[in-house]
Amino acid sequence: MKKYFWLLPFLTLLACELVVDVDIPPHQPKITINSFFTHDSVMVMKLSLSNDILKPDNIFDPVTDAEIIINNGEAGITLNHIGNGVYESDVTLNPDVKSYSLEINSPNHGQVKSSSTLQNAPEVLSHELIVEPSGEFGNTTKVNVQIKDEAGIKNFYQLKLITEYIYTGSDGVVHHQLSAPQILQVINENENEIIGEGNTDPSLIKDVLFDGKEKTLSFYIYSFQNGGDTETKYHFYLGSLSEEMYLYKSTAQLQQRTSGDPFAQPVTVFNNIEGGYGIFAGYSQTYFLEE
Amino acid sequence: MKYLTSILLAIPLFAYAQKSTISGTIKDANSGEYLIGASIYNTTSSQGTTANTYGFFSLTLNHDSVSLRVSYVGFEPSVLKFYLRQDTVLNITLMGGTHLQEIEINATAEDNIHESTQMSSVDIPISHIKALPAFMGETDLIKVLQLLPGVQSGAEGSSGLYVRGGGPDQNLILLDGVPVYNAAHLFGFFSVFNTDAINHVELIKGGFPARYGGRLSSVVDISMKEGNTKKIQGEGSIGLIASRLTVEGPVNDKTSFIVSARRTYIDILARPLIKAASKGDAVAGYFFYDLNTKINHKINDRNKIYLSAYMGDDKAYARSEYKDTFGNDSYSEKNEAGIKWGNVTTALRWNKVITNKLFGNLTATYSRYRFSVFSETESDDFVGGVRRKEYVTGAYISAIRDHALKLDFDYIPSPNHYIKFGTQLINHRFSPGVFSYRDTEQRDTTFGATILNAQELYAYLEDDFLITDKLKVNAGIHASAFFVNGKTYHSFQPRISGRYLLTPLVSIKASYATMAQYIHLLTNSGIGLPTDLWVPATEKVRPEQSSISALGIAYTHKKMYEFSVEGFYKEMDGLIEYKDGASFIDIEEDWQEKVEIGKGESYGAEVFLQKKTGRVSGWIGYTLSWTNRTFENINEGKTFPYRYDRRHDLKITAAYNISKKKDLSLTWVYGTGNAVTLPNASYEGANENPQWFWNSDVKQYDGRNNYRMRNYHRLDLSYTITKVTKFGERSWSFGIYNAYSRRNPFYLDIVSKHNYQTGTQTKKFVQYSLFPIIPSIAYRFKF
Repeated sequence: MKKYFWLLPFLTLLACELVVDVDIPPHQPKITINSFFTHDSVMVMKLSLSNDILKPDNIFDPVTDAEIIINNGEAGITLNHIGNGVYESDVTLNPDVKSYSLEINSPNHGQVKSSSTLQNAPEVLSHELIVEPSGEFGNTTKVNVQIKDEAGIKNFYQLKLITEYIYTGSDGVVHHQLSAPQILQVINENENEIIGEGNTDPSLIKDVLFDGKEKTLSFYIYSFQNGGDTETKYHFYLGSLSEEMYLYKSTAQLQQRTSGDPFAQPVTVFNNIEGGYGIFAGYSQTYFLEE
Repeated sequence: MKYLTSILLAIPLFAYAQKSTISGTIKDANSGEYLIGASIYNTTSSQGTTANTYGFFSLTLNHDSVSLRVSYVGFEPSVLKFYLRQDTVLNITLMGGTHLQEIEINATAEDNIHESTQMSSVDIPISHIKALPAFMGETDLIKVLQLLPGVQSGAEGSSGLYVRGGGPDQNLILLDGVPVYNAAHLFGFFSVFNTDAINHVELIKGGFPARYGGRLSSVVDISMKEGNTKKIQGEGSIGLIASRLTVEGPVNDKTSFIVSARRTYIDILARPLIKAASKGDAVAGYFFYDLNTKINHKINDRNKIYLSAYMGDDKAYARSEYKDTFGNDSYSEKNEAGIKWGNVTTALRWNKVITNKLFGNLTATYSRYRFSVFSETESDDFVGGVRRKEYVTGAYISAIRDHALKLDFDYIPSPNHYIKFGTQLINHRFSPGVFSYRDTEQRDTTFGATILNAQELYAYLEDDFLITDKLKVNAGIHASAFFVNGKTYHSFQPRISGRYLLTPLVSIKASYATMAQYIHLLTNSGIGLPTDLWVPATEKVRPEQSSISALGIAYTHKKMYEFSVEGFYKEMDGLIEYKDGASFIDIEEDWQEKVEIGKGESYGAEVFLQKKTGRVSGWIGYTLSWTNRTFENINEGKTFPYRYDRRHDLKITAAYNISKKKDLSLTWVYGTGNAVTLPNASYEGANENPQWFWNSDVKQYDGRNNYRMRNYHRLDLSYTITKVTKFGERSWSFGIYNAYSRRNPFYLDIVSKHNYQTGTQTKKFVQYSLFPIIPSIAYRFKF
């Protein structure tokens, strides 16, 4: 701290602050949709209301009175409110259906619309788990995934890991403990060739430079190392994200990362909701297991 | 038929009318300095010309009686009458005064704004620059240019120039013909130019003559003094944060010099406090200095050489030292970390009067701007009879370095033509963000952005010619090429400007110019931080281009007031901006991956009323303008206002010479608030499982630069008392910056405040301001 003592005179000059009114029109709350969906699963969606930027708390009121209609070209799917603004479909999504459109009507908050398209599940050719000694810090675990990219389509990949720890407790009962989902970051030597030009997030991978080709992606795994007789299983989900999901995730993460940086231009988060905010986007995924 | 016969009879007379050329130089009688732009005018034939940057003029007239009136603002005109029979060399001197007196209204017609073909141009007498109020007592050339219509300062206190919607990188700032890349000291609060060392300054905002190129928005052409050729003299000042001293004089009858230095003493004043606070372990500080030197030598009447140099650095640092002993063992360590930046420019110039109509100028120049963040650790241990010395240094360096060779000619075949032509070759070397690491064992590791070399070549031709008594045009072409990494860019830039006299005192003016810029400035802040990176056009990032058109009216009233109204429209292409969230210090990523390329436009009108002479001098400038940017991947591709889009901009300056001993001056500025991007809503963020209890919120921005800060206005005052003693002139200058302590906006933020008594929380927009009322005092002297 002493080193920065010389900054004191400048800081005193900066200390002139004044609460001011900015001519921002009053904000009318809009419906916010939070829904990433995938095939072979039920569709889950959370609806809430946006807040005025000067609302003191970060509590977003749930929308509980909405009628949600999903159209996938076949039969309409209905989502039912299960509490706190969360809605859920009573059927799993048909893996053969790719396009979904959404219409939400709320008596108090109007109508919003959106649509998204699912991609084919990624083709995983092979995968391997590599454990390398890394000096005094123990072992480093890495996973290599070889994929065959689908030609002519913009693909966006993301690898999600859920680690399962299996151990026998003192009571003789076998316990299965699951970690929170972890999004892994690509570690290929030439990162730009992997994640794609203009992308700054190594957990989101564009296929721009390997469209239609086979590619091996490498990821480090940061997981809690249990000692003793604990068995560890790695459940991997290689996702192929829709472009909407990619744009939302990359811009939302960038906004988070640069928040509070006075020199960075504010980041506008991608939004595909007509008449509201948020995201309605699909992804498909391929599961594989490493032990 | 009668008329035709007359014309036919007149042709041989015209063809064989004998002419001779009057050439020479115009100087200040006191100092021997050349009077750049001084006017020489034959009242008999109503023909005239002006002295060029090196004081040279050439006027070819018929053999006849001539009555030459020589004039320059701030000097008493001189009249010479003789019969011109042969080529004549005239080296003229004019007597100047300490104040701008009424007598100066006798300036010739050529001085007047409505006569010149050049539009969108202002030259300000250095004496007026020095007379205006100065921030913390430091006279600042750039801050005075910011007071002109069409020019903005950007953020509060900044010494950036934003000319007609252009960025701070789009100004060609020439110091004795050498580009200066970063003209800012102290994070932009002061400019690098020491006014004591400056002879002349001109700002051109549009209608660029063909001799200038390489930047889109403006030219600031600054000429250093050459040094008094008559006697040794000096001047200086002692201010609150800096002092300066200039000494100039003759070495012998052919050589003169000038040395001018300035240094801040913030670090010296703060050092005892910091040492006390750190109990003697640490030293920290900030300072800047600059040094201008020039030496010129007259080889003979036709040949002169000049060597001029500028050097300036800013440095903010922290040092600590540790020493200890245990028995026979000793340990010591020194640490230093900081940030430093600075420019070096050098010009070696050879002037040659080739004939009395042709003037040549060969110049070799060097310019370097470098910025670095550094950290150094040195240890020297003596343990168990073994000495071990180690060091570790790391630095993040960004630099641009130019070597250039330039050849210019002025050819004045007749009073109706003033032809300029020339060429320049520049070798640029860019190091845009290199990280350098050295230690005792592994030396010289460098990584980060690639060092790039590029060559820029241009040639130009222009003629300022009188077509009829009323119509005068300056037309030219500037052709340039840029070679980088095997890629070649080229550009042909037509330039034309002209005036048509509606009455003897009123003219209508028009101009059109296209410009190309092969180097870019990557800037996060837009406030002229030293961290801004200069980078070249590359295969991925194309050059910037612009076209600017202007139409206006100029009027001179009683040869004392100049009034102009101009409308302008400027289009810019190839502009760069950091992508959302990109940062300059992200060394793992190539700068080319961090930028977006887009377009811009600016249009509006400027009104300028200036009074250069008399006991009250000054100007009123008003600008009404719109400035926009469009980038495919910013703001969803929609056009948005530029950060420094300013709808209304009013500036008033006045200097009042109360008596020989007392001067009063003021400036008042008013401007629409800067555009700013603010969120208007927030909403819940999404993730794959919406039932999770934690979702971060997302801020919703309806558009880039969608709101306005509060309007900006400020009054500065200055009062100077001067006394002439037998040792020279002494003056005390008292200044007040922001006299009514207006809290002008610097930036806006949303701040949450918790009231512990009521348990409630509120969120408010809070505006931060930089400078409240700041008084200053400076002591100035001349000897």
